[in-house]
Parts: sequence; C-alpha cells; structure tokens
Amino acid sequence: MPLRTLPEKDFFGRKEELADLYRRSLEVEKGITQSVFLSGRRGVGKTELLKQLFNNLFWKQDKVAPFYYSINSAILSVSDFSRDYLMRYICQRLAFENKESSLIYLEGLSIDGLTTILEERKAFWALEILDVYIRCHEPIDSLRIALNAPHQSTLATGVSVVVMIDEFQRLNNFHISGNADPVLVALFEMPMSFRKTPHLITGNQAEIQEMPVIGGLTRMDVQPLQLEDAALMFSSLLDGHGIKISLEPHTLLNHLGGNPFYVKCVARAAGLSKKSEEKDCWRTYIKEISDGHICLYWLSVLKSFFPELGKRRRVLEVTNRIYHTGESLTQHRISKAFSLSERDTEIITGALYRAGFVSGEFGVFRAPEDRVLTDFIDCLYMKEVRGKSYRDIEMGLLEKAADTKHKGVSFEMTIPMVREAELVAAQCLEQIGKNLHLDEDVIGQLQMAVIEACINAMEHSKGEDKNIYLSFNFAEELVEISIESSGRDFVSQETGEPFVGGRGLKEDAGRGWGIKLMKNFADSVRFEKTERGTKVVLVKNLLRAARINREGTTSSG
Amino acid sequence: MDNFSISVRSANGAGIIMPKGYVNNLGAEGLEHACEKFLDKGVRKIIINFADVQFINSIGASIFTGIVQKAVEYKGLLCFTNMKKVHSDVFEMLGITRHVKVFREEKEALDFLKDKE
Repeated sequence: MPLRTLPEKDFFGRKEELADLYRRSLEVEKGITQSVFLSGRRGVGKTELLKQLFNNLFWKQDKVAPFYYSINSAILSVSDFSRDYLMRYICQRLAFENKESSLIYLEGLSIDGLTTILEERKAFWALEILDVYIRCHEPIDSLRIALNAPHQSTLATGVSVVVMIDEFQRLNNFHISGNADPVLVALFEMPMSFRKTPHLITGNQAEIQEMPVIGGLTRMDVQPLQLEDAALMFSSLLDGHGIKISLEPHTLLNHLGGNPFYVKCVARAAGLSKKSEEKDCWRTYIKEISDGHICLYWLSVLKSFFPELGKRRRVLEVTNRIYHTGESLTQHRISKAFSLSERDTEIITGALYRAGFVSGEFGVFRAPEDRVLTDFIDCLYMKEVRGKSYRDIEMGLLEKAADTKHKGVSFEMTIPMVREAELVAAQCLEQIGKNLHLDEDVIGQLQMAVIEACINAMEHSKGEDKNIYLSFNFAEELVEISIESSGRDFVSQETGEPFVGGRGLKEDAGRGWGIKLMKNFADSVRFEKTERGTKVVLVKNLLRAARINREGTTSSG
Repeated sequence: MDNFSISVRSANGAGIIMPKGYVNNLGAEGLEHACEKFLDKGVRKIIINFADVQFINSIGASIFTGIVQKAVEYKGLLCFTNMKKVHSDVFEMLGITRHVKVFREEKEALDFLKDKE
C-alpha cells in the first residue's frame, strides 16, 4: 500500500463515506467537484479515511491522481514548506503515473536528486515546474508555485488531481521570518478554487472552522461509528490478542461513543492485559483515561494549548465547572465564578474551545458530547486539584460505571405463542416508554422491531415450549430488548443471520423485510443461540435516535 | 380480526378507506379487498387514511405492494394520509411511497384529487 492504512477488514463503518469521497473524486473529470472540509471530532477517523481514499485512487484507476500531505509542525516556514510540499507532490504524482509506490517514501531527496529522477523518467511537466521554482527567490512566490503545482501539472498532462491535506490547522503558524502569520493561508484560496484540483482538508475541527479559507469549502461531517460497527471493531481487535469477548449490554462501547481512537486504545490495553470480562474492560478503560494512551493523548493536547504550568490548574477548574454545571456558561459567568479578568477568561475559554475540550462557537460554553473526555478531565481534576489517590479515582469511576449500567429499569415478560400476542409486547413497550418519557417516535420504532422479532420467534419455534420470553432493559441512554424462544433452526451457522423464506409466497418477502425493519429501527440486532433456543437482541441508543428524529422533523418541517 | 377493522366511505368522487388497529396480513388483505371493490366500481381515486392505524407489520406492509400494483393496473390514483412517522418510514423503506401520493391530512388529499380526472 502506498500509504500505511488499516487492513480493509479492520476499517469498520466507513464504507459509505469512502465510496462517496471516491465517487466525488472521480467526478473531478466533469469539473463539478468542490473542495471539501472533512470535519469531525478528534479520533473519529478522518485521517484514516483520507489515507484509504488515497490508496483507492492510487490503485483502482488512472484518471485522477491523489496527493496526500500532512502538515508538519516542524516545517512551517514558508520556504521550507514550499520546497517540501512541491517535492512531495512531484514524487507522489510520478508514483501514481508509474504505479511505483516506493517514490512516495523518498526522504531526504535533494532538488538535484529529484531532477535526475525526473530526467530519467522524461517527466517534462515536472521539470518545468521545478525549474520555475528553482529560479524563484521570493518566499511568497515560491509558495504560490508549490501550491499551484497540482493545477500546473493538470494543465500539462490532462490528469486531474485530488489534493488531500491533513492537520490543516497547523498552517495557522505559517511564517516567513519566525513570527506566525495566519494570513498566509489565504494563498490556498486560489488553488482550492480550481475545478480540476479540488482540495480535501481535515484536521482539528475547532481550529479549522475559524480559518477564513474555510468559507469557500463544502463541509462533510465524519460521524462516530455506529454501536454495531464499534462492537465489531472491538471484538476484531481483541481477536488479534486471542481474546473472545461478549459485551452486554454494550455499556462500555456505548460509553466510548463510537470513537475509533478510544475503541482501539481500550481494546489494545485489554488485549495486552488478557482480560475479557466486561468489568475488567471497565478497569482497563479507567487505567486508559488515568494514565494510559487516551490520557497521554489528551494531556498532550492540553499541554500544547496551555504551555504555561501556572495556568493549568485554573484551566482544569474552569473545564470541570463547564462540564458539571449542567447548563451552558457565558464568558462573563466564568469570569465572575473564578474572579478572572475578562481577558484571561477569553484566553482560557478560547484555547479550550480550539483544543476541543469545550463546545461553544459563539462564546457560550458547554461540555462536548464526549463522555471519555469528561472522564479524563474528572480524573485529572481529582488527581491534580483535589489530590485524590489513583485508588479513590478508580473506585469513583467504577461506581459511576456501575451506575451507568444499572441506572434505569428492567422489565421481563412471557407471552404465549398465540395469534397477535406480539401486540401485548408492543403495548407494554408503549407504556414503559411513556413512563420513562421516551421520544414517541423512538417508542414507535422499537415497537415495530419487537413485533417483527416476536413474529419471527413464532414462525421459527419448533420446540415444545410455546412461549416467548422478553426482557426490556433501559439503561441511561441505551435500551436493550431481548426476545427469546425455543426456535432451533433460526440462525445460519455460516452467516450468523436468520433463515428467511421457504414457502415462496409473497408473505416470505414480508419476512425478509421483517429482518430489514428490525435492523432499520434498532442500532444493533444480534441473533444468538441460547440454551432455550434462539435469542434476538435489539439495541438502540436513545440519545442518538431522538437526535436523528429531531433532525428529521426539522428538515422535513 | 378483533384488532383490526375497516370503514369505507366516498367523498367528492374519491373512495376513502379508514383502517383501524393492527395491519397484519389479514388486515392488509382486508384493505386490498376494499380497494379492489372501489376500483371494480370505477372509482379511480382512493385515499387510505391511516389516522387510526396502530401498528403495521412487515407482512401487512408487503401486501401494500399488491394494492399499489392494482391501483396502477386500473390507472387509479392512490393517496396515503395521516400516517405516523414510523409507518411512513416503513413504506419509505419498502419503496411504496414512490408510487403513492402522501398527504398530512385527508382534506389535503381530497383537494389534490379534486382537479384530477
């Protein structure tokens, strides 16, 4: 592979986004593709998505050349950047032309060395660009030449280029003579506007969306993984360590919020410690956020945005307050609460926002939708501000985890396999939903899924036990419903999916749809063999569902 | 079919069918039959008002494809009204809403059908 990426089997839940980006890239030829800002929270997998796109474009077609460049903090002087950007572009473009991936990794190549390579390969278009660059001595002009190189090569060869730039926010520190000059980024505006060389940029969302150059780009959000994909990723990573795990009812995975970075960190740590029970995984998670990889990652972000030691304690206090006040806080309220000057508050909250620790694009600050980050800050606050020991912190977080797991209610019921008994389950679910003040549309979706699961159970039950056993578990944000019956020949050993059909009637088509309906209305559907027979487990994230329904209502109304 | 019933009426040259309760295979077949009766009588404009429908299961929903086909055969115009979101999601998923007109209220469907031949 030209760029190091995850193997396809471990690249979960991103097939649609990748296919969409690939399709958009190929439309460059028609001149209708626009430059895109790929946004999303830290760790959500934007970089991996770009690299996968690069590899797909590199190997699967020869009409659109990919160029991937990750901004390096050490190469931010305009002169160094221009040289590095131009040489990497030429090498990658040449690599694409000849499908010679080794050219992508040529490090420490001199301009003379590159000239020799280009002469050997008779790449006259590149020699021309390089020649103009060598003769230019003005830093700004050199930068223009480098940034326009993809466009120039397109004009000369007819091959369009998709330019992918990662860590774009680092260009805020672009400089000519040592002093950062963020205005220099504006030089990207022209190359980004060319129809045959669309740019795909990504990096730290909060910082990039403050850069003026973003105004001309189409925004595309990379969403967290769905619970089902996160679970697949987690088990696959643990499989690599020879560990099999059953996470019920996915409370830890739900807690990780579908962030692939968090999933990888916890899975790797759990794999190394060879622990497989869910309680062990929670302990591993706590270790991760208190001094593991997740902790080190967020700590390095915190330190890079707050390099002064003296400020960090106050920053922790402010963040902790924002996270636990239960409402959004204005800058003024934060100033008053901590007796800070408006200026100091602005510096702290501004940096917290840019670092991704708080949300608040318009100066009203609140906790981001990231429970892991909240736990990390809680942990750090307890340790550094309150002076608590690791054991105290661990106990506190384990109690919180147990609370998350057991908060809420559970109902169990048994219904006989008689005509329309599924309605009894659906009506009960409606009453439970009302008691728990669940979103009406979410209740409706769960009822549909339960009705289908009950009908399945009745159709496939061959055992003597003519009952269906249902259990409804409502945790904080998660509902898990299991429907168990004595059906024996329900799940295919090969695929893990239920059998469908057999009678060849139009009703059979309906049964196939029944499975689709279940999968459509629940975030995850599992089919398990049990001692009793077969169990269908439906899991739905209530917050996510309510949000999607709200958005649906807003956009349709 | 204790959990399902149907009422039919006519207004402004349109046949209006109001199913009530649980639309499973039997319920949907009842609906199919009611539609056929209208079409056989030469009523080409049909409204199915879902206001009192509580649940639709997948077999019931699949029978709607037959109802849609029949309406097309007779060059009829089929309108669905007063649907809950979850039910319209089901029909959307099965591709049925592509072949029918969906209105929030029965009155809107009647207004739409008024000008149609």
